[in-house]
Amino acid sequence: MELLKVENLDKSFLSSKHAKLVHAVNQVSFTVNSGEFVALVGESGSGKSTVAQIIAGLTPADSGAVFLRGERAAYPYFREYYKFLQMVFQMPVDSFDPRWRIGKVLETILKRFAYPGNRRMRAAELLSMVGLPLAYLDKFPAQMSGGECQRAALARALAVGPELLICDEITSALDVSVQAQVIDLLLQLKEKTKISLLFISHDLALVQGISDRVLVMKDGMIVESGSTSEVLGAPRTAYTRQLIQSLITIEDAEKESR
Amino acid sequence: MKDAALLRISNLNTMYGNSLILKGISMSVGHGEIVGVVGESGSGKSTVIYSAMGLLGKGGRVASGEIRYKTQDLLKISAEELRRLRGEKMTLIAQNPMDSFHPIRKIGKELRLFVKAHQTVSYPKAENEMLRLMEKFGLRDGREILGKYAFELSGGMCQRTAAALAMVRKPEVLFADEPTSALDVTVQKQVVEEMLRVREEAGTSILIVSHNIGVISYMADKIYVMYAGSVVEYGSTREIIRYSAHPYTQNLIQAVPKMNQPIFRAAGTAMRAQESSGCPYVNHCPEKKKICEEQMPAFREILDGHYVRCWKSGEVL
Repeated sequence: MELLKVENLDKSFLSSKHAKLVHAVNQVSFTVNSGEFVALVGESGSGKSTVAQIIAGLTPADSGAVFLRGERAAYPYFREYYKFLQMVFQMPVDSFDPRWRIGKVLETILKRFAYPGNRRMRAAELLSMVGLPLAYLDKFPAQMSGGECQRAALARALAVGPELLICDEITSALDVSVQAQVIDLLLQLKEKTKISLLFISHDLALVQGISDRVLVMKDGMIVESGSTSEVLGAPRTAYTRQLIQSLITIEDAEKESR
Repeated sequence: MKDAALLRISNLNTMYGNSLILKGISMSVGHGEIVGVVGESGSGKSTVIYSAMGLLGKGGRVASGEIRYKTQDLLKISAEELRRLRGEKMTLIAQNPMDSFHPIRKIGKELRLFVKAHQTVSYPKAENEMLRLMEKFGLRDGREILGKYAFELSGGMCQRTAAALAMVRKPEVLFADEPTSALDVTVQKQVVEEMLRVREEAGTSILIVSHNIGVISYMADKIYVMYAGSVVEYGSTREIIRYSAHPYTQNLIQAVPKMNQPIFRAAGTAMRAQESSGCPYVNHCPEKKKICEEQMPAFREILDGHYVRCWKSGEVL
């Protein structure tokens, strides 16, 4: 089932630093099916985060359309849309109110979306789902490490049971060992639920490990797309090849065996 | 015995406020050697660099230990002497590039001041080299950037400019604190290649700290693995990457996503390092024994130059 469809998204904005018009998103179209993990890759400035923000209803597109489960979602979004889609951000600590304890964050969301059961219990359930001890209900964001905070952010996003999760570079601020834990959470979700994921990342090796399909963005445009093995195994554009070649991995070191 | 190392850190204990961040760190960097330090955030790896540079900042101090650069102990020399070494003999690529620049001084002025302070190279020559490096890093309008302030640049541009400025000086020791983490992969590779080139051309020794194990394994001759303020394993890059013996190192290397391999998933809950007399990794260790909780193991050499600090290592060999 086609869960998300974006059609000819287009957005430009005036860059304050260089005082020129940046065509951040240029005629971007793609779909995400139910249960599918789709990765959006590209370098910084390629427009991938802007695409995510448009889909999440955080910023309007200049033209084009977003369809959520076949229904056109116009900016500004209704609150009900967030029952359907949730977003997790790059900087885990920054995405929380510093004065709110995690328990309050979770309970407030549950209340806002009219969760019928006991909200405190559901909040505890969510924490254990993302591998955080119960005591974290009473913690402030500043008392948590980056990895713990990102787990809490995932708990918050999952609180209302969304069908689509947008993850914008959610592991790039984390250490590899912590990243592996967050990735495990995502893959568990994939195995146990029908959640779809739009996973934005610049780490191709990571993308290779978790996504079904890959979209490559450059200068606001999608330059290549296809199944993960197609795009990363046999890239058709020079840009994708360049991205793959630039990746410095452990295998390179072994090949050279300095 | 003559010390072959250019920089030797011995039993370094560094504190921030009342907490001990570095717990008896010893490391050495040889002439023209590239030494990588890996570990998770909070393990203290950057603190090693800032202790050596005398840049610990507010609340930070070296409690004991020695940092020997050639014949001088960097912890004992005067601030003036240290300042002279910094910038000419030792340079730094900082993690936050904005910190590398004076906020109200143009980039070109920084370069001019460096030339004036050290008088080892003429300005036109330094500028040419600077522009060459900047172009290598994808900054084609280098001359324009020299006329700007740091805050006018984007994070990535600033990082690349800072890297160029640190390398234009052809220092004897280059400290690099996460030099590539703010950069795109394509630029990352350029910065890495240039660091290797500076070593090749000027014989610069490099101490690079990063959580990007790919970058470290590609560049370094020797790797130190840090966990919770201690070095837990060190040895040649090949040894550490292929034959790591400490469970933490093994976990770390497994966790690096690799092309054409299924991704590694670390199940389990979030846990922190153990604060006790035992091994700091004991909470996470899949092979822990009773003694691990009670006592910190000593370093054991398991192969020529490959040392590990783990109770387990005695048995496997």
